[in-house]
Amino acid sequence: MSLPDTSGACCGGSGGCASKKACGSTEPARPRPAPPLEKPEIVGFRTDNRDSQYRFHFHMDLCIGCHACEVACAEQNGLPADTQWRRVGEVQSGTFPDTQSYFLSSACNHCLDAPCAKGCPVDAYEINDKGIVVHLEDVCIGCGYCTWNCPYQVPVMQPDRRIVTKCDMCTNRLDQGKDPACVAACPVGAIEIEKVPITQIFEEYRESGLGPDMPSPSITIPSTKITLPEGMDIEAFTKVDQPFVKPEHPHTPLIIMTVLTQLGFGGFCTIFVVDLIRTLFLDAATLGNVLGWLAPTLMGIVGLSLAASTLHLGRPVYAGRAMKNWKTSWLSREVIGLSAFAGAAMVYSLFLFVTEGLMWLEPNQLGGAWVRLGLGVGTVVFGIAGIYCSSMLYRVPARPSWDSVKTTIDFFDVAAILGPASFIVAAMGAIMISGRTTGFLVGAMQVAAFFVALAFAFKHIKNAYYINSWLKSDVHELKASAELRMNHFFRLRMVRNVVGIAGVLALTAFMAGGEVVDAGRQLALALLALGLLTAVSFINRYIFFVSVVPRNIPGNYLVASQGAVH
Amino acid sequence: MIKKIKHLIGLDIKEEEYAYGYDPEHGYLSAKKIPEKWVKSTCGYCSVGCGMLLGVKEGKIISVRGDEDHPVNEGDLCPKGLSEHYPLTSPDRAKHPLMKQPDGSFKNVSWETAYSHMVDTVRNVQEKHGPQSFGVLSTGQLLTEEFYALGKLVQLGFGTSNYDGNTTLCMSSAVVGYKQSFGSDGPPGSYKGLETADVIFLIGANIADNHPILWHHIRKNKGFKLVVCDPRKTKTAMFADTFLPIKPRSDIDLLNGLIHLVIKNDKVDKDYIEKHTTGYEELCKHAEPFSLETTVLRTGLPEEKILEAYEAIANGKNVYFAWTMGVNHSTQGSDTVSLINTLALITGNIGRTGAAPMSITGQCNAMGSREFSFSSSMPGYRKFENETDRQDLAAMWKVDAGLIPDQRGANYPQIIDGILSGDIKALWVIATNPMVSFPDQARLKKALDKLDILIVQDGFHPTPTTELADLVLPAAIWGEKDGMYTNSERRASRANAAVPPPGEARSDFQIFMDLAERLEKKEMLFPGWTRTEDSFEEIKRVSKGRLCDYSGMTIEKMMEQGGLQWPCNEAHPEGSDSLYTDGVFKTEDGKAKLLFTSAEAMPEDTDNSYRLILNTGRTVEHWHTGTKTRNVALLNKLVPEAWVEVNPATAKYFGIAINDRVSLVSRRGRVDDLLVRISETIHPDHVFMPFHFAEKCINKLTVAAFDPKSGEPNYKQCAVRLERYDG
Repeated sequence: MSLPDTSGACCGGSGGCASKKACGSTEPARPRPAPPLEKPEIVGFRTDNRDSQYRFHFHMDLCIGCHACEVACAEQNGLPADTQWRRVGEVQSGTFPDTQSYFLSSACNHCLDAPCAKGCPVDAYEINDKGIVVHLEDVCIGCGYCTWNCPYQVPVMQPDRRIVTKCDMCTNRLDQGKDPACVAACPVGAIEIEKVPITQIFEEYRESGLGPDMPSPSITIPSTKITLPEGMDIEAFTKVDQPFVKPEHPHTPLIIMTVLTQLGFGGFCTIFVVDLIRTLFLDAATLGNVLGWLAPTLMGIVGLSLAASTLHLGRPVYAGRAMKNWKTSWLSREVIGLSAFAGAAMVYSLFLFVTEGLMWLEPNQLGGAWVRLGLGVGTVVFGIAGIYCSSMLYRVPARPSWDSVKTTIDFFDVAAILGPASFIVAAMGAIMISGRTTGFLVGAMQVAAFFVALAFAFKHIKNAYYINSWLKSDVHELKASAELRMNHFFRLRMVRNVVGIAGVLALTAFMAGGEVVDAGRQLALALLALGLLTAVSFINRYIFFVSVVPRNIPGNYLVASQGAVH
Repeated sequence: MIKKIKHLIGLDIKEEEYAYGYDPEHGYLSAKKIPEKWVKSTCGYCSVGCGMLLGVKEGKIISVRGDEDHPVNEGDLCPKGLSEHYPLTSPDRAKHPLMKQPDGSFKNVSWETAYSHMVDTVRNVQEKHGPQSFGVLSTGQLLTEEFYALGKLVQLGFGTSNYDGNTTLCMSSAVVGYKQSFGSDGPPGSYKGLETADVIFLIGANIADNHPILWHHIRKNKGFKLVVCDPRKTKTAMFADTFLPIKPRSDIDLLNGLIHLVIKNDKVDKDYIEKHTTGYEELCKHAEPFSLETTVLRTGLPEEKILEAYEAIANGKNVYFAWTMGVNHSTQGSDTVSLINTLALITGNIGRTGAAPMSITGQCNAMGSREFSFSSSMPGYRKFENETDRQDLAAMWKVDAGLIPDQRGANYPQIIDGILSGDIKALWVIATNPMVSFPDQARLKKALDKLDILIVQDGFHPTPTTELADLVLPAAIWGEKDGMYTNSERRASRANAAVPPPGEARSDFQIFMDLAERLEKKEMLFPGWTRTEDSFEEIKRVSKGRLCDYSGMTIEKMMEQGGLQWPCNEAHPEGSDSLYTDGVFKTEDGKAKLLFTSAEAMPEDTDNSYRLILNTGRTVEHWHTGTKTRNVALLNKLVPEAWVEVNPATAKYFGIAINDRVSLVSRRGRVDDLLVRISETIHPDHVFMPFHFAEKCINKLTVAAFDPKSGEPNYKQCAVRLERYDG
């Protein structure tokens, strides 16, 4: 095996350098020159024990696009056809006959700032002594979050195993002094493994990307080097699969989980506000048992939706591991945040249920109103934290249409629409059952209805603003995502608009007279409104998931064409 | 059930199935790919002839690796080779002899019944309509030993010479071109030449897609000029120092123009011309009118590109001319080949490593069929017309010389014509799939429907051809039988059986022996033969002293050295890198003929209804009619369907957008629901489509026009139009 060692430091020999251990004893660690990047802390994250590391060096000028590396990789690792660790894509420029096309064979880039590892909630990624990003399959719970985080679409969900798998640079073959399968298979020697000082990776950093039409390396600092053909104008090249866009997986359990936790959160916020107002200004019993029944119902919805979310996992039995990597993973933080929210909400709703729902105790017993309000504050604060973390986990650079404050606003405005709406239903329900109505309740319902209408209008104006700006964006993935919404999902979005407007109208109509006239009919209208608005939220979240266009390496025209939409 | 639940909740992630292990020879590897033993063999796809190791476990080939000791590929393989074991276990393998029932269904029958039915029916037909009423279409896929046996069986056993191979669809023009120029078939160069040539001139050869492992040799060449002549900007053309995007069929004009320039500027090798060629004066006269201006006009190439190519050839010390189907697939293919030979001869580029006019063959053993199949010529490049050759063979075979025909029978297209005209009533098709590969499918279908009996011997069933058969004989394929393949550089390389064939399938060799037995001619034709080695021994005897001399080869030596290049004899015990090193050719006077030709019109012109020229070809992931590669999941994922390559301007003209489906329509048929690839890799007046796809069969469109000398179809050009397909 020929392994060019361009490190010039360390052991000086080729291959098998046990990095720090062998070198450290003979030579003091060299001070690392400041990298030309602005994020020095990431160096600490990835390279604390190494000065140099292994990397792929791909020669775009040599590759003939024969695809042998893809098959060799699959054979080496015994992979089924739907799981490719190495892929060959193509870029093209120019007009006939001066056309140029080049191929890009790419597996894992073993990034210095690997977002797969940082995002992994269960710490299933390990950076080994060669700098190789190794995925630990027995630790993996199959959440697939790394597949969202990688701008090169490297980790893949292997369907028959229900976990993620990926390229490990054949690290065990390297240990035996053998080339990785792809390197050995290439008939033109276009793929090499080399060992380089980490500083060199920074020095060779190219703002425009590793190669033509590739994601910016500043996202992950990939270790791979691509030698481009001489004189290549990389700006002129486009990936051949660019025209093809296909909807992403909808992740149904996540649609259910996110929408319903946001509904629950919004509901608890409404409960807390109402609770606060009546505690500060009114008689404790003004509300009857509205909150006492609404809170546990919401709690049930939140609990069920969290449980349902484990169905998203390839290995639901190990869902509990997901809190482990709270230091760097927004997914771990989401699990912790939403669990804390659910915990606080449970106590809060239990309190409300016992005191106001079953009316076993007076509202002000069990430590009085301030304990109850304290629980309310806790629920709201943890809820904000949970929903915020939940939104942040989608804000990954690899998925541009998710990667903005829009996602966070989206998540909170669902709460702002569905929370008050659920309160209205509960209040109308209580009025119908008890036959009693108070001015406060009626007022609260009116304010809530007005708030919902306002939040609904805000949401649609905001969405229109974003989609409009995406359509004008230079970022292909944003533009493509907006176009998917405008074209492929146009009818669904129209249906959603009709349903949404009907929901707001139902909400407005239910208290058109400003008083309770026919409780049964009004409750039906309120329920209808809540149902329609929840449906809108589900549709919106569905569109959110399926219309994201992830960043990717240049692809294969024929593969990309399959299942692509207009 | 419990297993399924365990899998669903995540307790079972198939760790065992995806475990790794250690192979003593090849190191860390997926455990399920570690075999009990590795069997050396040679690839059964293209003519590059790569050495392989087949990993065998529990009676199955589970893995294929490149043989690092094989001089052709030194461990490299293309994606097809790397996955060649998958088709062996495909559900589409033919496993039992099948006989068509009156209701059109197939019924399993015994081999005995199948043989009786075949021999009786064929004999009846021959008795009624004469021996020539039985036609045989063979292939380039069999082992050389099988070709040799089949030739004797057909010509001497069945007594018909209406026998040809599908090699006529791919390299018969190269054969005729070589014969015309040099007096014999035989590619003069070797792959080593790709490493040492200072100019590589590729004409109608997209080797990056079709012969990728040749780049293994090209990459070793430090400092050469690559000239690529192709109407399409292929993967190969992307690497060209000089790309010549000629108008279709103007290759002849370009070659004439280059010959003109070489002569005019006195860049010819006068010494070589004088000593080793004839016809120079006539050539000069012929080349006179092909001035640079004329060439520019006819080829559509800019002047400076033609001059670049000329400079490269004129100043190159070793120029390697290589071509494939861009040249052969033409009604003028044979003469184009001779014209390339002429250019090589007058510039002295022959007889040295790196300097040769080199036909890169198609199938794994098209060469074996050229040398020994007894179809277009007699074994050992002997000529039917030559009485000494016939007597020679008769003596060696101990048969009456009168049994040996004095001229070749019908070639492939003539056999189809013969069926249509009613002269041929029975047809035996072996290891080929004309219902995908033959031009003008409608016409072919009409012919096959007319037959009294169609016998198809193949490794796969159903294929579009076996479906039409009255009798299907299930055959072993690559990996299941022993023998040799000869590659483009005349290297005979050993292909070994690693596993037994599936079901009741038998090796083609066995089937031929069984049939000889049935005909009661086994003792006459194959006395005491039981294995392909018996055939090999006779090949050595029969080829001794011929150009394709195998007499110095042994199986052991072939295995040891990764094949041997003929001539391999006492004078050249290690084989030969180049032919004609002494400048002596196989013509009567020992001199090569400087032949020439002028371009004629294409067989079919474009008009207002059919504005575009359809160009056909291959893609690296698939092989020929796809019976093998479309059974490989990953290859099928990479190239799942046929596509039409269309220039953006053309797409716009026909109102076609990305993601539209299209139809291609020619005067003979249409193919609907095609993926379109809008790309600047193709000229606005042309479209390109690959030919691997039975369900999107390009040969419904192609024209049944053939090279009158070689019988090779004109696959590369026909007139079509593009339509949007709306379902």
